[in-house]
This record gives sequence, structure tokens and C-alpha cells, in this order.
Amino acid sequence: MRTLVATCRLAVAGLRHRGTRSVVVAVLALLATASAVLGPAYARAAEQSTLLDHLRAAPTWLTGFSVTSTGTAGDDSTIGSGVHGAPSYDALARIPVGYLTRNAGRTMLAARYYDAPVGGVQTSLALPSLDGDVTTGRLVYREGYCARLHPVEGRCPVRTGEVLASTRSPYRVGTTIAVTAGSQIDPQVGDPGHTTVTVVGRYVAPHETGGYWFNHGYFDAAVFMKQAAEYRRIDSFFGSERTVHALGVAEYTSMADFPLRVESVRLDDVATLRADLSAGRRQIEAAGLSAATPLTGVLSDVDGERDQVSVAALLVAVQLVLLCWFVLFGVVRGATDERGPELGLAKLRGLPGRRVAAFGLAEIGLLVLVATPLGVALGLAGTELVARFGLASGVHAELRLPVLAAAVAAFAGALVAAALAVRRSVASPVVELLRRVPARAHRLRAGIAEGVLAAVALAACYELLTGAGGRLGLLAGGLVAVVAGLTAGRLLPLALRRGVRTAGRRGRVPALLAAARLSRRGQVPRTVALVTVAVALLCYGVVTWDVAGRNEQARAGAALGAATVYSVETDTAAALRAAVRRADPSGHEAMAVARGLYGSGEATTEVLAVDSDRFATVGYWQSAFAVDDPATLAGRLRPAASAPVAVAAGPLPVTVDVASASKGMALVALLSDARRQQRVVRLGELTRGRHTLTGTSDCTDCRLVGFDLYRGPDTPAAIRGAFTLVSLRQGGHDLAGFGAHWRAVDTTLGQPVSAVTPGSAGTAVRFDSPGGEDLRILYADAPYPLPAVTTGRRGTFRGPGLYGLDQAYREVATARTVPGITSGVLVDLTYADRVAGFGESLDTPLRYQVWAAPGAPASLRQKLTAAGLTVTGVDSVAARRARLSRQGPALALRLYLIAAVAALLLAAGTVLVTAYLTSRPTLYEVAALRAAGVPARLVRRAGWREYGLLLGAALVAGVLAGGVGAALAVPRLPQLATSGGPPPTWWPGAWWPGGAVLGSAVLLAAVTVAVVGALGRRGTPSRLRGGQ
Amino acid sequence: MTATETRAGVGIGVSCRGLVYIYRLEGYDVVALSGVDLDIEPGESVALLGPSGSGKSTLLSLLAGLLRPAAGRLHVGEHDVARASPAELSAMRSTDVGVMLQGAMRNLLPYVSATENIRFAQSGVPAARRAELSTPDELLDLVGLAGQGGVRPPDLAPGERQRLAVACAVANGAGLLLADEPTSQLDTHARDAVLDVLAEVRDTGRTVVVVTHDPDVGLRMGRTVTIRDGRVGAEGRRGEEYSVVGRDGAVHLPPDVLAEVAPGTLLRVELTDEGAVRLVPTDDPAKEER
Repeated sequence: MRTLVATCRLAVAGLRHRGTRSVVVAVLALLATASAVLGPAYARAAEQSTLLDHLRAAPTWLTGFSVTSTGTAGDDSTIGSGVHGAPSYDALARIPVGYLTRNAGRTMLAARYYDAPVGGVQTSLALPSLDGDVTTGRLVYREGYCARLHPVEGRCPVRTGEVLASTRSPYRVGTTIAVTAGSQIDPQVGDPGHTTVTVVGRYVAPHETGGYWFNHGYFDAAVFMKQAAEYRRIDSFFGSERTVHALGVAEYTSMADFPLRVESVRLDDVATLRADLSAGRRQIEAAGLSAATPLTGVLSDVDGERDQVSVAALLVAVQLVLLCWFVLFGVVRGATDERGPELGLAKLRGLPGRRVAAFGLAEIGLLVLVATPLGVALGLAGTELVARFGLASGVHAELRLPVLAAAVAAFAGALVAAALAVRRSVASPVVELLRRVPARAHRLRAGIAEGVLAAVALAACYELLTGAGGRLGLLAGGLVAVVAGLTAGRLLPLALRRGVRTAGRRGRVPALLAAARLSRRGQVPRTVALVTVAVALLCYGVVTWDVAGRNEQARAGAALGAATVYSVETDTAAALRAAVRRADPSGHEAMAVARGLYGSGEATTEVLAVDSDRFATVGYWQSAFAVDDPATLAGRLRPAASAPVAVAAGPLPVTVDVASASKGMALVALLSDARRQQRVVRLGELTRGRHTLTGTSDCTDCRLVGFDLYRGPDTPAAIRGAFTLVSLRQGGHDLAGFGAHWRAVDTTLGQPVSAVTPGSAGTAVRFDSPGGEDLRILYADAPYPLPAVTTGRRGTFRGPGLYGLDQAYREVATARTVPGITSGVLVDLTYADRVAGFGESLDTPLRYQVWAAPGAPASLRQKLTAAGLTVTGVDSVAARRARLSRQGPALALRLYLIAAVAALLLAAGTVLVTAYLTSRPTLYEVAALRAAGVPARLVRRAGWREYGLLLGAALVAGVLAGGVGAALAVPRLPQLATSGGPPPTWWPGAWWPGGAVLGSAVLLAAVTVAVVGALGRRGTPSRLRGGQ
Repeated sequence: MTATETRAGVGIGVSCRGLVYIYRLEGYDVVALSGVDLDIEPGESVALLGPSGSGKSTLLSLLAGLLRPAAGRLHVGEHDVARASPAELSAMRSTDVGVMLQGAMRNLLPYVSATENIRFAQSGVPAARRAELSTPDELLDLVGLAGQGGVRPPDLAPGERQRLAVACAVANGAGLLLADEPTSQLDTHARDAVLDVLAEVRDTGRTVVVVTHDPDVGLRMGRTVTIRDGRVGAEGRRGEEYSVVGRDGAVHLPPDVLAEVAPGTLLRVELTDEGAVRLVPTDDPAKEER
């Protein structure tokens, strides 16, 4: 014990004596430990962030679970007939909501992770017909519904039979409605139940159907066609539980919805959550109920991203721990070697080997022992900082087993390094420890270790390039850096041996000194290797970061379409275009956009209509999107076409020359008003001969769409005829000539029903229709088929137009990516609007947007509002990038960057510490040179040259190795969580990699300045007086 | 500063026979000692004199068990140094031999006090024998540093440092003190103080062997052994200088004789009737015959 105390006392005294060195070594050990724990700590935080982001982004009904009980009241048969103890369908239908919520919560062990459940019951209703439509609805009870619905008229239901009705339904307060069970009821069970309900209040259907409403579709009013009949579904009626069950024989679905307490979920809880859900679900289903647990799907998505983070973290952690070992090994060994004379003195005094070892290990052991917990704390603090500013809120650094394992690994590495160094000292003869010339390194052993590393690096590269499984390939970048570092470390001294002779012959003192030092000092290969690895990791990290950032930018830009996108409400695309042009007359800031998504599944088509004059200026574009530049594409979208024909209110005379026409056929003019509503001006019946047919337009701001032929009551089913449109006038002026610019509607089943032939006398129209085909003649104020840039379709094709109406397109160019929709059809907004004529399909909610250029001022929003647009939402590329940057791959790549910066700082610190630890002979040498008359200037130049060569070679080797590593790894690293979007780029920009190289060079230059300056200051001849 | 204040040690004798040591360097060997015969009696005080590179420091390292002889026999007290294992040599240094390297600071830990340095020097002594050791205060008193136990070596004057190094060297109760250039880089006053301390050490009964290139130091030590070209060339005792006949019959001529008889001169060695040896320079025998 006394010996231990004495050893520790000596160690503390030694540490104090070597105060600066002790602090620097401790700081480096601390940084190394912090770097080592950074990987697992950050990975944990990133995984937690991913989990929270997913859970927060998912609607409540996706993260919670629902237990439902469905049965038909009056049906006494049991589920799974014959199963003893199985409940009857009647029991399932009548299960009280309170009972269900209590027991479901208990069975699913919901108390820990879920908020209080919301129970309810619902049944479908058949309602009296409205306007001849088959009308359906639902009668719903949900706990606390009235507080959520806030009746805008009337009051909340109190008594049985009272209900709330939606303001979107025609039912007024006080209306009594006879309702019948809407579900299919087995006749053996009885007739569908019926009752009457009285509307006592009306509510406005909420926009938000998630959250409390759990996406049960209570507010899904719609009109739709089903089996040739028109159906109307109205929003649900809400009443008490008794009111719902008052229907009698009907199918009831009782449910208990359990919202997840998202903020309370931690990664450790995921397994428990899954297990609880799985076990509870089995029990629930065994009881004849069902449980919907979509959370498992969300968690699977989270798992995918967590894997991406954890794989990257593993990769980074391994590299960092190895690098830290390397650093610690070098520093600890240097620090131990520095004490060689002291250990020699201990041996001189006859201390036994174990005491000498303890004496040698005590100092560095104490340092590392103190530095390790501090390093863990620093690593965690760094992770906490990153989590605060870059990860989801509520994410914190956690001290967990992997973190401790990394710290222990770093600590053990340092101790092993010290033990090896001390072991060498203990085994060395005393005179060797006391001599001034350092001993030669064991090159054979080092060579074997380096050979093994090179073999592993080759194997990793092979695995990466061939796609063979395993994770060794992920280490390829790091291993390439290590091998490059070791190679550079070996080659530099070899190369400079010749330099010694050359410089000696030529009498160049600085070159001679630099070459001699670099070719002979044992720490040179280690230093070169370390700096090479650090610079390579930095370049590698920066390149992957930059490439990922560019791909994030491309993905965000391609997905959004412009730097900023305003969602707006307006009546028509034309109105939108006009408003945007008022708001931004310059044409450089904003562009009107309309987009529609039609069809479903593989037949989905997205149409993007843009104000093509501004597309090239405002839209987000990358050269990878298409071969042609955006200006060229925009030009092709907007070939010349006739101007639209504006029709004012008043008489509208049309001169026609009728050759023949079926009886009772009337000519009408088709107009489209400002709201794209169809306006029809009846002109008159077609009779043989030349006539001027005059109708009266009541439309003040209408556009002529064309003419149509209406059948009269006496018109036969099959019609035919021929006539020529000669003129169309209003206010004494020809509105439109009939020499050209007219077309018939598209063919029906491939058979033309009308033909339009422009001629000098007018536009000749011939029609021959066996049935009810469309016989319109349309004014061609837009090119038709509509020019389109497509992402796949070629030639001429048909598809839904801007408003969902079927039309023809003509592909004028192809693109790999169309900004805003990624794939689909890009058209000119004005032409698409004109081609669509009027009206729209029922299921096509057209979305109107205003795209803003990167330089658009913030006041644009006010300008848009002033122009008559209602802005309902804003999104930006920056915001999307921020969201993408929180996904697993981006978080992983951020870790690469952090690790790379940590590596470079470690390397710079190590160069300083190594220089300090090995400064004794160097200072003596410098002092001797100065005493021998070598000018300080030459000594300084020698130092500059030495460190310039040492660190410059490492910098070059590191940049090359980092580039090779990045080239190998970048195309195979996941950069975004989901596929799709524009094809990824694998090339970095110039700034980030250039900046990394420049930053490394500046840092290493600063290190050189510090070292050379210290040598110059301390290497004075007076040093020789005190021996060393 | 009296010897009675320190516990008396038992001097250890040294016996070298045909001692050879070769430094093996890159590409060539250097014979540092080429057959040294030397006996030092217990309690004797000896100065090993000689120019730089003559092998005197090498001889000291051999005596300390820091180097192993290439040939010959070397006994330090009861220790057969030539055959001892590293552990045995270490044990020898921990108890029987005190070594003082050239340059005081190389013998001291700069970051602990004088007392701590002495304790450190004693820490190699087996626990059972530590009770017999002089205390740090006694040793400091011996070397004239009483009251300076709390001072760290860098804060001592160069001469004081050297004396503290002596105290550390003998702190283990060694019977043989080996000191390499103990007075180098010291002024006269400090040198004399160190020599006084060495005399005090000798007075405690210890054998003292000092390597020096300073003849004045040799005069103070009583017996001087001059090492030349890796051999014992001469000895001085009681103020008289003697050449030493080597085991191969070789004799180093004194410098004044050598000045008269140039290297390469043929000498006829004649034994006179009185038992004296006469060296008669002779011309080329061939010429003589003619």
C-alpha cells in the first residue's frame, strides 16, 4: 500500500512537473475518448430522433391502436360457431363503450404508453332519398364528440333520439328523420332496425380528421356513381350511445381508440411496444374482437432508417475508435518513451521489473484514467449539442453500454499502448534507456501489421466493388485511408534519404537538416500516417456530405418545383396566371402553376401546368433533369396559336351556309365564362341555304370555345349533314375568321363523326353520327394535341388534362424529372386551360400554386394577396431539405462529417504533442546548430521545410486517399431514406471539398508555425549548458 | 557532516581479470576494454583516470553491471558480474553498488524533493533490509545538505545537486560507490565540496571508485588508475606513479618516456643485476649487424 501511495505521489509530482505536456496529453486523450464515444452516442441520439420524427409526423391513428367490436344486434349466433365460450354477434354489437375501453386498455397494456382511450360506437344508415339520390350516412356516438364539434347552430344532443347534423347536409335544426339500418342484415336475424332522430344542432365538419377523430371517416360526404345510380353520402349524425343503439337490429361497430403518448416513447420502448401490441392483439382476437395496430408499420419504417444510421454509426465508430487508438498509442508511447531516462534511473537503482513498470505506467495511467470519464462527458456533451441544434426536440445524449464500451476500448487501447511502451523500457538495458539517441523501431513487426491492414483493405474494396455481402465493404474508405497513410509514412523517409545526400553535396543546410530529420526519426511514419488518415477521413466525410447535400437539394427542389411554393386558392388557372402577373410584372420572381393528380395505381398521371414564359426563370432546375435547358422546353410548350376570341354580352350573329342537315338540328355557340362555367348561346336551326343565325350572349367576359349541334325533339337518332361557317361577328366586327383555327372534337371509338375543313369560303363541317356523339366544332386558340414535356410517354397520347378531362397530348420533349411532380406531364398553363374548355371532372381537385424564384422577396406573399389570391400554405426547398436532413441517411452522413472534423483536430493535436514529446533531442540539436554558428534563419527554414514536407505529404496523400475512398463508397452509401426523385449525382461541388482541403492546410500550417516557432524560441545555445 | 552520523557501510572489493568489452556499432566494432586487470580493496578509494574514449566510463559501467563483459572475469564483492543474470545485477545495484552517472540531474528526479529522491533511490532495497539504511536526513547530513530535504533538485546549486546525487547513490547502503565524473562542470569550490563528500563516504568504510579526467581529483582519491587504450596503463600510489605490467607483459610507458622514445622505436629490455628493468633504444638490427 505504501508502495502504491509512493508511486502515485511520484506520478502526481511528475505530472505537475511536466504540466504542459500532461495537460496536452490529457486533452488529447480526452478528445480521443470523446471521439470514440461520439459514434455510438450520436447514433443513439440520431436513432431516437428518427423515431420521434416518424412518430410525430404520423397521424394519431397511425401511431395509436384501435380495438373494435363488430356485430349485429339480434344475431345470437356465435363467432367461430361451436367454439365454447365464444361471444355471440349480438353481444359484440351491444358491448358498452365504457366496458370496451376499460378492458381493451387492460388487455393491450395501454396504460404505459398510451393516453386515455376514446370510445365510440357507430352504425350505418339508410336515409330518405335526397333529390332522387340514394342517400346514406352514419349514426355515431363518440366520447366527448360535442365538445369537439362545437355546434354552430342548435345545441348538443341530450336525450335519446337527438342528433347533430353536418352543415353540409340539408337537414335543419328541428328536422325529424326516419332512419333505417344501412348494413346488410341476414333475414333470419330480422328486419333492419329503424328509428327516428331529431336534429337538435348542426356542426361544421372539421378539416382535421386525424387526432381525436382517429380517421374513422365520419366526415366523408360525397356524391358518387355506383352501379349506374347516383349516391349521396352525408356526414355522420352524432348522438348518444343510446341513440345509436336505438336503431335496433343493425350492425354496430364499437371501438376504443388509444392515442400513443409519442413524447414518452424512447428507443428502449420499441421492443416492449411491439411485444405488448402483438400479445394484446392475440388476446383481443381470441375474444372475437379485432385490433388495428398500424404502429408496427410505422416502427418498421423507423427500423429501416435506424438501420441506415446504425450501420453508418458502426462504420464511423470503428474508424474513430481505431483512429483514437492510433492517436493514443502514439501519444502514450511518446509520453512513455520520453520518460525513458527516468525508467533507466529506476533500473539503475535496482528497482524490480514490476516496480519499474508501475513507475512507468503510473503517470500515463493517471492521465488516461482522468481523461476517460471527462472524454465520455465531452463526447456526450458534443452529442447533446448536436442533438439540440440538429435533431428532433426531446432527443438527448444518453450514457449507454455502447458508449461505455467505446470509452473502455479507448482507455484499454491507451493502457495497452503504455504497457507495450513500458514493457519495452523494462526489457531494455539501462544504458539504452539513458542514452540520448532513441532506439530503432521494430520494423519487422510493424511491417507485418501493415501488411495485414493492406490485405483487409483490399478485401473491403473487393467486397464493396463486387457487392458481396457483409459490412467490411463499408470500411473500405477508412481502410484505404489507413493504407495510404502507412504507405506515405514509409515512402517519405525513404525518398528523403536521397535528399540528404543531395542537399549535403550542394551545401543546402535547411534542406539537409529537414531531410535528415525526416529520414531518420522514428515518429515520422506514424505522424504522416495519422495526418493522412485524418485528412482522408475529412475529405471522405466532406465529399459524402456534399454529395448527399446536393442530392437532398435536388430531391427537395425536384419535389417542390421552386425555391418557395405558395399554395393558393383561386377560381381558375387563367385567374391565377393573371393575378401572379399583376403581383410580379417583372416575370423574374413568381410563376403561376396548376397541378392535378389523376387516376390511381400505375395509371396515375400528374399534370403540371406552368406559366411557361417564366418557367426557366422561376422553376427549380438541374441539368440532370433533361437534355434540353428549361428555356428550350418552355419554348416548345408554347408554340404560336390564335388568340382567344372574347365574346361580350349582346347579339352574336353567325353566318352559315347549310348544304344539308337532319331535321331539327340547331347550332349553338359554346362560351366559357370567367369561372370556366359553360355558357350556351342558341343561334338557330340549321336549314338549307345561307343564313345568319343570331343569338344573344349574356356573358360579359366570355371566351368562345366553339359551336355545337343540338338535337331537336324531331331529330332522328342518326344525324348527318354538311354546312359551312362563314362568319361570326359582334358589334360590327368579325370575332373570328373561319379560314383556319378550327377543329372537330376527337374521334369516338376511332370513327370520325364530324369533319372540319377550313377553306376560303369558311370552315366546312360535315357530320354523320349514328348516335349521341359529340358534334362540337372547337376554336383552336391553343395547339392541339397539347404540347407536353413528358417523363415517359412518347409521340401523341391521350390522358387527363388540366381539369381531369380527357384530351390528347403531343410529346415535344422528354425529361428525366419534371420539377414539382417528378414524373408526369408538363404543359403550358394558358394552353392547357384553353384546351380544357370548361367544366372539370368530379374527382379532380386541382391544386393552384405560385412558385417563387430563389431571389423573390418576402413581400411576395403580400403582393399575391393584394392581387386577389388567398395563400393557404407555404413550403420551401430549405424547409424540405431540413426535413430530409433529419432522415436516417442524412443523420448518418452528418456523423461522418463530425467524425472527420474530430479526426483532423486529433491529428493536429497529435502532431503538436509528438513534436513536444520528441522535442528534447531536437531542441538540443537546434541549440547545437546555433552554437556552431548556423544562423537562426536557416534553422527556422529547416523547420519550415521539415514540417512542410511532413504535413504536406500527408495532406496530399490524405486528399488522394479521401478522394479514392469517396469514389468507392459514395455511390453505395444510402443518401436519402426513400427512393424516387431525380437521378442522384455522385459528384461533389467544388466548394466543400476545396474548403476541406484548404481548412486542413490552414490547420496544419498553424501547427507548423507553432512547432517551428517553439523550436526557434527554445532551441537556444544556453540549453547546451544544462546537458539536455 | 560527520561520518559517525551515518551508518557505517562495509566496503566491497573489486577484482577484474582480462576484462574485455566491445561496442558493436553499425558496420564495425570498437574494442573499449582490451584486457583490464584491476583489484580494488574494500574501503579503498580509487580514481580511474584517462583521456576521453580511453574506456574508463565503460569500465565503470561494467563494474555497475550495466554492461556485460565480452571476456574476462569480474567480481564485485561476492557478485560474479560476468555471469550474473539481469535480475541478479539489478539486485546487486539495489543493495551493494551505488552508481552515480555523469551529470547530476541524470541521477535525480527533478520533480520531487531531495528527500523524495533519496527515498526513491532506496525503493529498490528489499523491505527486510530497509531498516538498516540511513535515513534521508542522515544522508543529507552526510553530503552537507542538512535542512534541504524539501528542496527540489533544480532549485539546488550545481555542486549541491552533485552531492545530492552522491547521497542518492549511497542511499541503498551500497558498499561500493561508482561515480562517473562527479566533479565535471563544477567550479573549484563546488568540486572540493564534492570531493570532501566522497572522502566522507569513503570514511564510512565504503569503497569509492571515481571516473575522472582531472588529475587533481585523482590526487585526492589516494589511488589513481590510468586507463589508456582500454587497458590499465599506470597507477599512482602515495604520490608516486607506476606503470602496470599487463598479463601479456605489455607496459604503458609514461608520457615523459614516450616523448623521448617515439612509437616504433626498438627497445632492448634488459634485466639488471639489481633486479631493475632497463629499456635501451636500439637502431635497426640489420644495420647493427652490418
